[in-house]
Amino acid sequence: MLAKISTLQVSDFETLTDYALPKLTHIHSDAELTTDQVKPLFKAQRKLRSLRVCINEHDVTELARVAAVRKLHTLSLWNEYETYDKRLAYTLDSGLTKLTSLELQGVVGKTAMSRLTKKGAFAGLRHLQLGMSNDALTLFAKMLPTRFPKLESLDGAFLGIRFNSKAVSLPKTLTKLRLHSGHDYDLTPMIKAKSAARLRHFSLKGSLTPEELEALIGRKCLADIEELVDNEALFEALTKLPGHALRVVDITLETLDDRALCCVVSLVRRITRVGGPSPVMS
Amino acid sequence: MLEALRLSCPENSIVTSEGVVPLVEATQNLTSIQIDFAAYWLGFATDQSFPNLVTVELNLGYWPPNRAEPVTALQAGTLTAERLPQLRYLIVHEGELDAEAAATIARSDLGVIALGFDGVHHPSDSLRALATGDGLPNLCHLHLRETGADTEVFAARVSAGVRVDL
Repeated sequence: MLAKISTLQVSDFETLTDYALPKLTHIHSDAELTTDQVKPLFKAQRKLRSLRVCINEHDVTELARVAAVRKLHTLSLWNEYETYDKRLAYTLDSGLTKLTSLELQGVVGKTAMSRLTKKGAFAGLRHLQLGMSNDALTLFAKMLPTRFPKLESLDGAFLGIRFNSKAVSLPKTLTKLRLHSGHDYDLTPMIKAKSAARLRHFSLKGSLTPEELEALIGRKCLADIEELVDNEALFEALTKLPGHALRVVDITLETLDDRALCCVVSLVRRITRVGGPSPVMS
Repeated sequence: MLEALRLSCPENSIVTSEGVVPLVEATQNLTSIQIDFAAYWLGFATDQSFPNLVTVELNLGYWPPNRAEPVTALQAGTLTAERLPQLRYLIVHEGELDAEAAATIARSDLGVIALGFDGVHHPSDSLRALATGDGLPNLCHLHLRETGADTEVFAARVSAGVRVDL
């Protein structure tokens, strides 16, 4: 039975390396992977191609020392320590040439970013998700159009702030973009920018201004709004706008009562009505 | 066209049927609903069909505050293939199943592939009803984490090829 398992989602690595699962190709875990577990893991799971784990900052470099890591197609790491930067840089410099999907959910610093954006190093990436420091962001924004020629999907937690002052060029292959919005910058120019016109799926997370919302809804692409925080001005704007582009709405209500629900209903009705009747209805 | 609505709410929410009924009506054509104060959604959906709804994820634990909301047999009886012909994923968090509700669901003709009731210790009668019901023709995955369920009770489901997460 175990021999047939290809994907394992675990909360405890302790027992994992005790078993050789010859066909295991994917491991996803909320558990923290430690040095003692890194090497045996790859030794036992020779076909592992996808690894999604939380990793101790001291153990990131251990990953780079395991030759089998270079066979990974998908790597997802998260760690909240800033000192992660140089250790992560070491790992990114270790020949991860087969990666098509990379998620770095800690704060990537300038050193690690220089490795990530090194010419040709990650040219095969199709999906990239990352959070980064301000100085790393400057470098990333500069290199983004040329260093990832196959990139289709970008989830950039803090990338939005870069779009406040000027529009950043996006790779021509990019069709899916997810940004976090914020109170201290305005994404309206970015949403309307020509370089974003190729996007088929645009996702914004966080509180939005009515202007940003208007620009987003006005786009002719699929759009998600996540964690839209309610306030009266925003709902006012929502109910006046055509909503043909919106596919997903994720609302976080600060207070829930009948009045707030009424606003949500108004929004849903507006978007649904403007979108036209569904095939089932007609 | 709007397909999915996710609605997160604070725990101290106070809503009445006056607020919820229009929401239920407005969401009739969505394919995915994820909602927090969902006992109302279940309770007031009795005479309405949701022809496109594929995914429903409900959290019954937010109202009343700090209490799991029971899923009643009356609510469970509204979960039918006629009303929800496309429903394939039904996940209910923090909603205690009474035995009658569990039996109603387990023998229903709902076409769900995945069914989940997690976060609340259910009475053993309810778990037994879920394990032995002869409905749910497409069921492949039963998700019952933190429910106090015993592996042995679900042996028949497992041998029938259903993945049971306990």
